[in-house]
Order: sequence, then C-alpha cells, then structure tokens
Amino acid sequence: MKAPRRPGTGADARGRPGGDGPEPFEAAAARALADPTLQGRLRDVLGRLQRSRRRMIPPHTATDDVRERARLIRAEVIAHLDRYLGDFVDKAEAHGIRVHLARTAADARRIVLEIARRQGVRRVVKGKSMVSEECEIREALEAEGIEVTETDLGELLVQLARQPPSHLIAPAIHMTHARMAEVLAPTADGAALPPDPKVLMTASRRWLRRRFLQADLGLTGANFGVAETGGFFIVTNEGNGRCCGTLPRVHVAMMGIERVLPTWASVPTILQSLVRSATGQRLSVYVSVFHGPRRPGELHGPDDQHLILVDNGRSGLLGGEFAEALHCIRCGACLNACPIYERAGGHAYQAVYGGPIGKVVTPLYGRSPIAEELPHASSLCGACREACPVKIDIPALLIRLRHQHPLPGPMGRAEPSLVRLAGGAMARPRLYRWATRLARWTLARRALAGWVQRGPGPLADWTRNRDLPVPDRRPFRDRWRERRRGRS
Amino acid sequence: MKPELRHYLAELRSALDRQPGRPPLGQQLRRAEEIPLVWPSVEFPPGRSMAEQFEAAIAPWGGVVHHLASAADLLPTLARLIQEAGARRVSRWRTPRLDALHLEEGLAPLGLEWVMPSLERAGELDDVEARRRFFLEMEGIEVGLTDCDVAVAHTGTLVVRHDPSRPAFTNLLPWTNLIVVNASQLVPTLADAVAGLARDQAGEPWPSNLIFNTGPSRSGDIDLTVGQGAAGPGSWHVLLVRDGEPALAPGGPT
Repeated sequence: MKAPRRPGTGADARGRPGGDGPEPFEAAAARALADPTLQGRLRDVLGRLQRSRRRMIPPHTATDDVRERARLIRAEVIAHLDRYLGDFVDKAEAHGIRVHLARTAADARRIVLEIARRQGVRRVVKGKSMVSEECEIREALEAEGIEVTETDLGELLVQLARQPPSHLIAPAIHMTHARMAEVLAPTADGAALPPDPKVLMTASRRWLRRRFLQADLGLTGANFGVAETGGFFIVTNEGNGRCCGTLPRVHVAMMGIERVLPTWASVPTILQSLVRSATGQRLSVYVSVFHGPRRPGELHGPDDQHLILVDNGRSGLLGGEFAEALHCIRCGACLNACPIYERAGGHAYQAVYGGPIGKVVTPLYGRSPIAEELPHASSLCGACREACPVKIDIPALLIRLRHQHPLPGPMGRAEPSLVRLAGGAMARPRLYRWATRLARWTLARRALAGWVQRGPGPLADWTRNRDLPVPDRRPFRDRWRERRRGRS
Repeated sequence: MKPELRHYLAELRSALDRQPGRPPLGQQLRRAEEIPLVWPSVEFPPGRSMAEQFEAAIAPWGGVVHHLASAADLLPTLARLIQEAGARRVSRWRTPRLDALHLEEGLAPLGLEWVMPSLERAGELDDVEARRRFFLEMEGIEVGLTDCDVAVAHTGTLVVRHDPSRPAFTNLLPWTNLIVVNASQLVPTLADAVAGLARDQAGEPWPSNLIFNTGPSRSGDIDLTVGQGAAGPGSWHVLLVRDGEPALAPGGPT
C-alpha cells in the first residue's frame, strides 16, 4: 500500500526518494543547511510570515491578550471534550451529516475506502488536510486504483513532485519557481512552462477545474467543528476547499477529535487567531461553513456528506501531562518562529507534523523513525511559545518528553547525574563559587576566542552540535556584589 | 449516534474524570469572555467610515470596491464591468434585490446570455453524470452576479448564506464575481457579523452552505505576492451602494 513518499521510508531530507531508511535529524538538518536554495526560500518565506504575524498580533498589547482568550477556549474544550464532542456529533447528525469514528489511521482508511466503494468513486479531488496526511488516505485510495488530485496548489506541487509537504500551511515552501514550472508541466499537457507565477497559476487553474467537475468525491479536512451548531469549517484562500465541498456528489471531511469549538460565539476568536497567525491576513478568502448535505431545490452541495473523527493517538493525551498539545489549532506560527525549523526545513523532521509542535506530537503518537530524537532537536529558546496563538508551552512539553526519551550516547546517560551535581552545587554557595572557578579554568584551556568547541568528558557529546561559552572572568555574583558596594 | 461513538465518548469521559483539579464545565469559557477581543487600532482608525474601512481592508488583497451614491448607479456600473470582463454569459441570483434591478431589460443592449437555472433543475444534481453536465454548463459562465447577507468593515468580508435562489456556483465558478452590497449591510467586526447570524438563525435550521468571503481566490503557494484566481474567481468587485449608510461611523473594532 505504501508509495515511496512517506518521510523516513527511503526519502532524503528534501523528500527525494533514494535514501536508505531513517536518517538522524542532525544529518538531515546538516544537508538542509548545505542547500543554499532551500536556505534562501526558508529565510524569505518564513521571514515574511513571521513579520506579518507580529503585525497582526503585536506583542505586549491588548491584542496579545487575545491569546489568553483563545487559550481558555481551547482549554475548556479539551478539559470537557467528551461533552463538546458529543454535542457536536448529535447536532451534526441532525443536519444529516454522517459522522464516523476512526480510532486509528487504518480505521480512517477503511472508512474512506468503504464510502468510495459504495458510491462507485473513480476520481477524488482532495483539499489540504494534515489529518489525511497523517492517515495516508491518498495512498490508500490510489492503491485501489482511484485517481486522487490534490487541489491546494502547494499540495498539488508536492504531489506532482512526489514529495511530502514541508510546512503546515506552505507545503511547497522548499521549491523554486523554476522547479515549480518543471513540476507543473503535466498540467499543460507536457508543454514547457516558464517560471512565471502568473502562467503557472493559469495552467494549474485550468487543469484543476477539469478535475473538480469530473470528481465523484471531494475529500477535505475540517479546521474545526462547532459543538453548539453541529457545523464544520473549512478555511482556504484558494477556494479549493469550497470546490471540493460544493461540486462533487459526495463530500468526506476528516477532522481530529480535538478540533471542536464550544460555541458559535467562540468562532471569531479562534478563526481570527488562526488566520492572523498562519498567513498574517485579517481573514482568509474563503471560510466555508457546512451544515449538512444539499437541501431540496439547492443547486450546489453534496448529496452525501460524511465527517470522519480521527483519534489516532489523541485521546491518549486527555487528562494527562501532555493534554495541552491538543489545544493546537495548526496555524504553523511556531514553525515560522523556530530558529531550528528556519534552517533545517520541514523534511528534516521526517514526520507529518514538523517544527516545534511536531516535535511534541510526533513522539507522543510515535510516528517517525526518529521520533525520540525530535524533542532534543530544540534549543528551548521559547520563540514557539511566544508565537503560539493559544499559548501552548511547547518548551515545557519538550522538557517533559526529554525525561521520557533521554538522548542516547554518553551525554544522555551522564545528563541526570550532571544535573544532580549542578543542583547540589547551587544549593551550597561556597561549593558553587569553587565549582564555577574550576569550570572556568577547565574550559578556558580548551577555548578558542571565548568558545569551547569540544567539551571535556561527556560534554564532548553535547558540544558536537553546539559551542559552549567560557564563563566570564568576573562571574555575575562578583559583579553584583561590586555594584551594591558602589551604591552604598 | 452510533453505539460505537457513544461508547467512545464514555471512554473519553473516564480519562478526563481522572484529571485532578479539572475546572468545571463552562468556567474557562466564561473567563475567556471577560477578555476583550481587540485587534490593533491601526487596522480600523477611529473616524473612518465603515464603507471606507471595507475598501481599505480588501484592496490590498485584490478586491475592488465601487462606491455608488445610489442604486440608480448600479446599472451603468454593472454594464461597464461586464463589458470590461468581455463577458457573453452572465449568471445572477434570483433574489428580490437583484430582481428589482430588472437587469435583463436594462442590459439588453449588451446582448448577454443570462444563465439562471430554475430550481426544477435541482433534480439533475442527484445523478453523477447529470450533475457533471450541469456544472460543465455553468463552468462556461464568465460573470456571476450576486449579493450578500452582511458585510464586515474591519476585514472586508462578505457573509453569504447559500440557498435554492442563491446557488453556490455563481460566486465560485466564473472568473468575475460582481457583488451588490448596500452600505446599510455593513457591521464593524467579524464578531458583530457572527453574533448577528446567530440572532437571525435562532430557531431556524442553519443553511447547508454558508461562506465568509474576503476577496478573490488567491494562492501564496507559488509566490507570496502574486496569484489571484487559484480555484475560484480571480476578479472580485463589490458595488457598494452608499445610500442608507449610517451618518456617524462607529470607531474601531472592540
């Protein structure tokens, strides 16, 4: 059933097939770093997204407080998910939406295939959906001989290039215009296309239209469902989600169980937080709200509308120390803000969800060959926490995960005792003073221009990817004492 | 609800009940509501009228707003825009507001073909092949002429409830979408529009298909700056009739 596009199964850091199995994050990141084109694209696109997000939710303002409002809404739902999800299902079914539960990715594939078989589906148009990526729905349909067309332009680009998406909301972020022109050639019947964005857009529009009109089934994600009304939302700029949910006779939407909002009145907060954080717009072009199939006399919409609620590991987090990860609204702001993502790019993570939130959920759901390595691929700088529109404390979650999955190697083994030692020293001022002097003396001998590039003992492992600064000749304690003396 | 789902929800409940110190139902939601939903005031400067704000919000995203002093200006403006689009086939909604414009007579000199499928054709959509033919026919339409329920000044958004007389293909398939809006339909913020919808819907079934539409279809996937008309209309014009506009503009969004 597997097509060779899942990361970590023989794809290299940019998703090109041909690697041999999983590659350590370090190695994948190093290769991304050595790719000047990718570095340029990442800097350019992420920089722009980050600047616009800061304009839309300026820090330390009343707008910044809206993040707390959004956090509380998400926390309310997750703390009482049974209740809100139950209300949502009841209301959705009352509108005629057929609700299914997929406990696992395999269940989700089975449900989609059953619907497709029952309806004699041969062609599917698909909107952008991370849950469907997670469940490998496209691969499952294709294995049944069903033609699946990704209709989000970014997803279409990576589909035609046979790569996995590399960003939550900008899947083709790693591609240049020249590469896009190459990849889109089949949409112009193989004719060479110039690397001109307008020409590429026209070619893909014409090609996608034919597919929208021929499709038997539209498959989409759902950004959220509203417990109070039983409707679900699809947010796009292109309108492809609207096409998928409006034109084919069958519409199947997939949604993680956690993506519920309690009330209709909570929609503006979450919707605007999502859009502002994701793309820096005040609102996306199309926010489609679906409340069931076509009614009598209507000249649009599916006759058969399904919603698949996907668990796939999520409910295991409920009530536990990682439940906060379920607050995520998948805006991608933490990816754009992350200094590691900015350099390593999405493919280095070899997982469906990359970047900071990916480093949290991937090991929790255990879905990457390098899952346990990911929580360590962070400097814990906190930029993700500052960017998150629902204030998820990603660094705290990463630290908890590091406890569960210590790094392999000498440093990983030595870390607990080193931390205990440091703790003991900090509790004894005289010992601490002595220890810092010793540390300075030891490190200064190895330093080059104030930086240690290869630490002693187990620290050698730690300094493989980092430089360690030599403690200052005059420690803070001394300076503080002098300052106070000067004042008195 | 299927028994399987009911059983699953019970499992979730028992997992959640184990959580120590869980806030009671509704408590965090009430706390959330105490925090005002405010966006930077530069986005909606005090003293700017809602009509001006609507245009300022949408213009950077490729939406074009035509300010019309009265409904009498609609016909000539529509004629000009339809000609500029080079359109032969035009579709419009059969809503009281658009019916009242008597466009077929008024625009007769343009020799347009008006495509307005009757509700009886809804049956065609039941069958896969007939549905395909129906939408292929609608695909050839160059201009879709529509209206809206509510317009949001702060974000430049139109709220549109689709129903039998307002089919969703009219503002989706044609390259050009012309939308007739009255300034009296403007509300300051998205939160106002959402609250208004909830009031309107009280006791009524929610429409199967409802959209918040902010400008022409666009994509940032090929290039972050260029790209209108990825899947939906690439040309999006609001004809904003400014009679009946509230004299005093409310301030920024709060």
